[in-house]
Amino acid sequence: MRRFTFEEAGDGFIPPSTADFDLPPVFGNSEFTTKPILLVFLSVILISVFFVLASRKALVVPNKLQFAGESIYAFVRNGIGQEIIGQEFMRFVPYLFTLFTFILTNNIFGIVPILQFPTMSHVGFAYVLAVFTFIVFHWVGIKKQGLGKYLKAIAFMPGVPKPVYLLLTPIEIATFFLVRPLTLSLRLFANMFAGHLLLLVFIMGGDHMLQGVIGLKLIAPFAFAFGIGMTFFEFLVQCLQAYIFTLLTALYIAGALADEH
Amino acid sequence: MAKGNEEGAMWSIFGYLLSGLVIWGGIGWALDNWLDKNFFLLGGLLLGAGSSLYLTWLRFGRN
Repeated sequence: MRRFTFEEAGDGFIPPSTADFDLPPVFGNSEFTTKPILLVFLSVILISVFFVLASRKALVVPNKLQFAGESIYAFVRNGIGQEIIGQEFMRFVPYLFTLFTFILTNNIFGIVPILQFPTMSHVGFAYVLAVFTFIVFHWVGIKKQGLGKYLKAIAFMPGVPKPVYLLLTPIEIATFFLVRPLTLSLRLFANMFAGHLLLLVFIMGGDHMLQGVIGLKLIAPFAFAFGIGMTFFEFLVQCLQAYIFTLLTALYIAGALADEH
Repeated sequence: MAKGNEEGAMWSIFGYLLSGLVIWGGIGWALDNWLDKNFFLLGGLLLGAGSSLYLTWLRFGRN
């Protein structure tokens, strides 16, 4: 974490960089006590507490907390699960729901005061989530159709002249086994990374201008205003990315369940 | 894919186009390096773009 000092202020603005994402351990000297890892644990605790409280005394006429919890659950169950997967959706709802709430909470940490760091801006976390989805949708497909039939459905598009397979099969295989998990994780990571960097630019830039000459001081409020505006924009992006990750997971599962793509 | 919405279709198409370019462009690039030529990369990219467009049409265009 970099802090501006008054000596530094005169030396010109140092723009935020990837170095701002390398956070030192919060306590101890272990690489397992860094901020992102602690945030992951915090998110698990927060989500658990929230949903246990929201569902503990389920009433027919829900109170506010129960209503909030049920709304999120219904959104994932009906809006993503049922809509995309169809018939067999119920057994995937726990995974989709976990995925959605986990990503959403960790993303929103990016704009929560004090925490202010989106966990997923460290690409490793996004990779792990993509690996889970990768395993789930391939497993589902193999279990439903059998290994041979599943692979055949992926590699060989029906209704195409045989020589064309030479062109299409490599693309299909690359799409299912490489591009899908990669785009899934990189989209999430890149959005969170870029968003955090964007906020850093405006807020740190504003801070830097405040310490400059009078002309710069006058401009600084605009930078802060933009920073605040961007914070709202980031909130939108954070929700959207959690939604897209879950939606695509559901789509991949639906694709693996379908006999023919 | 029986069910799926616009967003999902968009990302699937993006995935196909990307992997077409990467796979066939990559093969072209490897051939260029191996045979010390300079036109395989372009050929591979065009081939990849063409075949992934075809694949996209197969999957989303025909009924």
